[in-house]
Amino acid sequence: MTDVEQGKVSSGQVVLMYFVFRLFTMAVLLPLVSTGTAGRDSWLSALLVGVWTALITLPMLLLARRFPTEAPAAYLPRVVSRPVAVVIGILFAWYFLHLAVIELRQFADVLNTALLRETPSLLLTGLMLAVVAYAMDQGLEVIARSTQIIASAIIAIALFVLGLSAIHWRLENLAPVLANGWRPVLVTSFSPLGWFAETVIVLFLFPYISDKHTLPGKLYAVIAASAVILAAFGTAAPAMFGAAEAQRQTFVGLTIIRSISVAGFLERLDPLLIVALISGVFVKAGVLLYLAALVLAQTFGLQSYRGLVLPISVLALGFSRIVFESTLEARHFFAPHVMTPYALSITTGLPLLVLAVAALRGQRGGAS
Amino acid sequence: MKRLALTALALCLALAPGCYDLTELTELGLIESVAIDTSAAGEGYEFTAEFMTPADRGDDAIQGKGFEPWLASADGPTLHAAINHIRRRVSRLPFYQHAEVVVFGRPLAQRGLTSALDLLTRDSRGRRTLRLVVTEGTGREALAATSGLETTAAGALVGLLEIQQTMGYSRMVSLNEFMLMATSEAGMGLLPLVRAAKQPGSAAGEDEPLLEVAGLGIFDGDRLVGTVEGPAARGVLWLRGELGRGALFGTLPGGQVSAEFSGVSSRTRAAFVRGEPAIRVEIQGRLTLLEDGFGVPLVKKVPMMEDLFEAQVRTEVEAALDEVLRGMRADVFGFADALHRSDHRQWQRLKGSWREWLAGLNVEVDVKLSLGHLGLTTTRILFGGP
Repeated sequence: MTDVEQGKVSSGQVVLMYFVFRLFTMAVLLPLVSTGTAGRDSWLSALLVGVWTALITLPMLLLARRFPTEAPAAYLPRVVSRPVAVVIGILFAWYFLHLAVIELRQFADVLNTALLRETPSLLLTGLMLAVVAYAMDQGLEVIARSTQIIASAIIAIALFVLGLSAIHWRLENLAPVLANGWRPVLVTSFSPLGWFAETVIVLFLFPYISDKHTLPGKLYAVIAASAVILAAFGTAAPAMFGAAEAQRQTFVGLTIIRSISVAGFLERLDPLLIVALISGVFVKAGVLLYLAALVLAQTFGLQSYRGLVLPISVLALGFSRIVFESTLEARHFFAPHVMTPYALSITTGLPLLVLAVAALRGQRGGAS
Repeated sequence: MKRLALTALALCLALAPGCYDLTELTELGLIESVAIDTSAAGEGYEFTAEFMTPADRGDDAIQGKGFEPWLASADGPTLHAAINHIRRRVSRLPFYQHAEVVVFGRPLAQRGLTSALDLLTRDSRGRRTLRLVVTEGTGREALAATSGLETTAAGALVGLLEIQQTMGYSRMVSLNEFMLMATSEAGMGLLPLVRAAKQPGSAAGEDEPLLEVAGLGIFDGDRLVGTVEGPAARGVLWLRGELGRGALFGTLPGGQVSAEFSGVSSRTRAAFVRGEPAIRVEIQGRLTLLEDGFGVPLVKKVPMMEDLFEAQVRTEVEAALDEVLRGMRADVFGFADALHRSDHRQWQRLKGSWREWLAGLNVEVDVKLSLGHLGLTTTRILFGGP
């Protein structure tokens, strides 16, 4: 069967996609602080998130390396039977679509809250989706190359903002450390795990990576870097606002950037966040919706995923209007007891299941 | 053809830059500062905004071709209602994003600032870098007072508070800093206190009241529980280590001396001794001699002057502890946070009764000032003659 995607990307481009995912979520929600309960110990939770992510990524990588040249839709019917493979394919397509819709909605909500109060969110989401759909239509290589360009800007902005915010950190706000013990730190470490589990994208992009052998090293390096930056944000928020105030913020990253004032003139840096937000959502929605289309096309044996670009984009536009009634409802969904089990059951549970069955049956794909 | 169509489409985008949120500059009323008071009816709010137009900020304004900032007020049952009602009197779209100062009237501050603080932190048009001020009268009176060298009350307030930051008896407090204090373990904070007052020597009917910095307003949570001025206000700032520069002066046998302090820092050491809180504050600073009126050899008089100035600081600190800690039972010195950091479990046991502890709290203060700079001369003036 001819694959619906003929492009090739490098492992560096794929891990950069994941890094942009992480920075985007930190810039908007920072679930570690907004839905966690560790308060001033959030930075410790962030480091634990890195450890958990490294663990949950392992089955994804093992499965990908077991079938290095095949898309999941190609080997799943052999491993778990055709009907189950279709269900798994649909579940992953749903997960990618759902995640993209959530991010598009968050993007519109932040813009409506902070900058464009009068502009209809439908217009904001629609314009973004038009660009995203164009990128999807151009294929994986175009999305990957765009990510490379955008990632450098977003990383620079994240480091610049963190550096400037450090001027306002009051580290005494972080003491006493572990006053409430390890329990809240552990519980909070599961809060962003649902987002960190987005490493599952490598499972679906693995067949198209030209330098597969370098992926694990780069991926773990990016997971570590993401955890360190998350720890820095987890330090910044309580150090600047106090633990209670930090948790009260709807968009923690936005509040951090709006509170920066250096020497009375370097302030009002919101446009930097907006740049990161717009370019970040382009990458994240682009990759996720592309994967949704790709997985559906491969699962149902279509000749090209391009026919699905428009329907999926329209679906995402409509779905972004109804995915949450309000930011309060979104906050409830992002809570560790809702978002994390939902995401992990798909991103980690399903690959683990398939890996176990393939290992028991001794099934393996062709060499890369 | 396709490329041409795409280019034409891209060019069309230039015609639609944020059209929904577009507001022309000439339609904006820039707000420099706002005052929040209780309404005349008592339960509600009165909101006052100090307006300028973008033209007022233009070249003419820079060249001093004067204009009068305009005050508009409205009231309502809630603060947001009052802010909305102001639109009935203002012909332009109020632009809050450039506001620099929020002035709370004393009656409102005594009633409580919860609603105002919630709105200020919730509304995306406000920023946590906004400066907060409490005034002795109403906020509207403060904004209506003469601004001295500045063209707006906002400019006058920011200028006055910036000078106080380095010179004296009050300090600048941002919205974020106040929220940090209010949500700290003690839950108590402070704001700079200003007043609109006649200048000394002006007769009745002469001169408009002028804005001046009076001291500090002390808050328990969101409510103003008292004010401190003069030495007690500076004592608060000595204890918090938040003084930049300032003057100390006194008399030694033989003449008057004065010095400028700088590099002030304080460190609070807290511990539980047999279950009871014990506080020790170490204050350090540098001195530069400014006036030397008595003729004692340098090696002898330096320790004498240091002792004199350290005693003066201790007096100011004691005044602060008497008025604020024991009088108002307010902990704006960070003692509760220091205890929390020193022993979390013992603090949780004590936290509920912290106010009762304050009146009898034993605070040990250690002041160490070092006179390291003598200025440009070494000895006092040696007059000639027989």
